[in-house]
Amino acid sequence: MTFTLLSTVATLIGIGVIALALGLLQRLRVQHREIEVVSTLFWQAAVKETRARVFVQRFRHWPAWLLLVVIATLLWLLLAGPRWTATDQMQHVVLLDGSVADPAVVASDMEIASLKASKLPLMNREIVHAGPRLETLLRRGEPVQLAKLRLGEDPIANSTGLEWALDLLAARAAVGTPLTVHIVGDAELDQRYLDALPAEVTVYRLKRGAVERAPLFRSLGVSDSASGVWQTVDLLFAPSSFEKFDLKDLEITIDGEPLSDGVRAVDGGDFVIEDVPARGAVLRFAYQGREEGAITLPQREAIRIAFETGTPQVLKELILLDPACREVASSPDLVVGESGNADFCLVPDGQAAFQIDTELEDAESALAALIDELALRQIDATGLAEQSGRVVDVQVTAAEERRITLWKNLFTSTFNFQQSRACPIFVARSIRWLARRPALIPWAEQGMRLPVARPAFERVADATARSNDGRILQVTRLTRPVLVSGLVEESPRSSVVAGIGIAVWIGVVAIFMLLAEWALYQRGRLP
Amino acid sequence: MNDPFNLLDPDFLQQANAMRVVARRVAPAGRWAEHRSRDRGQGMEFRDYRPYSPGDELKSIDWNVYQRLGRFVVRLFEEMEDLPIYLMPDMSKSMWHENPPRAVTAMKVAVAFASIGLDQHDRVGVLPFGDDLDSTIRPTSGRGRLSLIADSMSRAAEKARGNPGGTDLATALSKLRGLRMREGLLVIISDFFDPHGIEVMMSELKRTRHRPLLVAVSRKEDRQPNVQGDIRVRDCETGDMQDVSVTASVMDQYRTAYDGHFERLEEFARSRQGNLLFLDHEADVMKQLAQLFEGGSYVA
Repeated sequence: MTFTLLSTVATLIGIGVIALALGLLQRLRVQHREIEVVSTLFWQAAVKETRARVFVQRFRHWPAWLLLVVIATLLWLLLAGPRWTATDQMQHVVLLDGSVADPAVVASDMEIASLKASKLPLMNREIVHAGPRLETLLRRGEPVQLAKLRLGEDPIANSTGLEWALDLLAARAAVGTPLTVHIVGDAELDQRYLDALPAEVTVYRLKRGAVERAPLFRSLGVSDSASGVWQTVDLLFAPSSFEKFDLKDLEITIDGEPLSDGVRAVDGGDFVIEDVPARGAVLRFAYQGREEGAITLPQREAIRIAFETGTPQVLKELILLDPACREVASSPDLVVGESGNADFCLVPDGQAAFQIDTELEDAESALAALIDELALRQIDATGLAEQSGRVVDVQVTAAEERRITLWKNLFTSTFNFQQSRACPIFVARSIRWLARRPALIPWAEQGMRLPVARPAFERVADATARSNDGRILQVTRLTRPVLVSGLVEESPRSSVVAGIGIAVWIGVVAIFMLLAEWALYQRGRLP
Repeated sequence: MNDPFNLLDPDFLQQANAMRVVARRVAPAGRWAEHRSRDRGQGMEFRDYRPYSPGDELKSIDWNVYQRLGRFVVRLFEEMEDLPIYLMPDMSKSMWHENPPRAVTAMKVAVAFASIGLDQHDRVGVLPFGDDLDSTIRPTSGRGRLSLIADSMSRAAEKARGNPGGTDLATALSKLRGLRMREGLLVIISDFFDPHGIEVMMSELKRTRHRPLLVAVSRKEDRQPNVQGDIRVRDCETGDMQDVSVTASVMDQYRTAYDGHFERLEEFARSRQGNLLFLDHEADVMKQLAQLFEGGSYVA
């Protein structure tokens, strides 16, 4: 049996404390049997004498105490979140979040991962680094020191979150073998995603205690390039202390190549570098010879699109107007056309106006998210319905691959959809959604992980920076930069118990014992 | 005659009449009876001489002394007077708490002493008490008055049983002192469980002029209660509660307090040439009383 909310040691200590506390309370909890006597004269004298002389009385009511200890222990175990787990079967993977390349953070995370791994069964533990690829740093049966050596001093960062890594680990786990993943890092994980994980997979996040450090930058990030060039981004960095910061002492490198031109100061003491190539390179900052931070730039490759014969010209032009899209003849990322193989598929009017296939199983929640993500809300569905004389609806179905199917006539002169302002937005967002190009996460906070892209990502409303040419850049400002290190405790992010779990049985037994105690108490069998 | 408590049991009275109470010397101004008095008078036993004074009877002059010394002296003889016996049976609630009640035993003891006293021409007064002294039964003498005393005592007992009060021996003794009765034998028949405490009781006992005979009507459980565990004892008279976790140590303390209580009473009784008799009310009353009457007599 394992505990999901408390460690085994904490659970056992808790039981001991409960037993001790109840033992002490037992001395106070005495139910007296009333007897009428001819005089209490001598009893009063005897009790007065006894009180004055006796420090500790003999412990009585052992059965009552034991019953209470059992009940309290059951309730405590319930609080500890027990799970039936064959210890020799449970596999543990300590997953290092590799979304930041800051050596200090990486070293701190490695320490935490090693500490956790050292407490896990030797033959059932692994340490895996979620960098550009999933790299196993420690295999089963190996000493934890090997993990540090394998990680190296300069790991490559990754900014694509951890869900892909969890998917791989879940797929790699043998069927029926329980897997516990201990995440070291702050990468966001969507609760819906965690809920959708197989029942055998349990995900924890290792919490870390705070250790203050004053990093050079309070925020660091990228945004879409103001020049409109898809393959470049603008980069902003904000020194923590403007008075002490001298730009001359700052050395910026992209994959080892110096980048000194184009750094411009903006309001508030922040700096902007425009049109940095977005090729997935690691951009490093060194101040006075000491490395102070790094950020992995997005990799903005063009979306390769193949158009089938018969694709409306309007649609084709609309797609190619997007600088992120490029027409290719072979090996496309997406196919636009009328055939069954098309990802963006045009069909006659007889079917649903908008049919969206998504890999999410919960179609209702997927629809709610897609309405905003694909800008479906901006489409004048009423106007379309009046023109077509049919119901214009959106259907979302669960499927293995993403696919969008819609009326071909939407891009002909039959309807005025192609003239609406919603049309280019819908097309552009649909292409990106189909190509799985996540939205750009503009800003990273120094010392913190890059968050996973998702539509609900929020920025602090008043945290803006103005560039020299008047553009407003949104940044996340940290008034108190913090680095975290040191393992404190582990908290579950996902816990699935198949069937009726042990917690339920413990609860049932505890209730029955409470009822039994009440019955015994009512009958005067317990003090 | 109504005798609900069977106080006039012939066998019991017959055994009682075989006993005597002998006073060392009774207080003066009593009636003629069998006890030697501090009075000088017309008795048979010569006691002393004193100078003749006008008014003395001429037959009391010792002429032999006059012949030898030439002075008139009068011969004095010891007066034989009665011993007042005051019986104070306890009629408080604690005496009625058990079944059979201790009060019945107390009344039997009182009847025994009354029978003995009346049989030897002593004046007997019955003064039942609880939280106050009942002095409505007039002291009396004469062998034929025993049934009267028993009847009066029964009526007082019926009244007390119907509306029992607490124990306040100090108040009862204070009131007895106020009656200014002739010095005699004071027989207090009680459990002596006065909730006011031994000190209050002792202070009033010490102020009485009578010779005390304390008869403690008790049970074995009084000293060795058959209880265990966590109990809440409630005083049947006052309703006071006391939570007790019975342990060997607590029981030792209880017995120490019990023994100390009665040792104080016994010490007082002996200091006043009296006695303390423990009377197990579940055993034969007369056999236990007989222990007090060594050779058939109790010297008061």
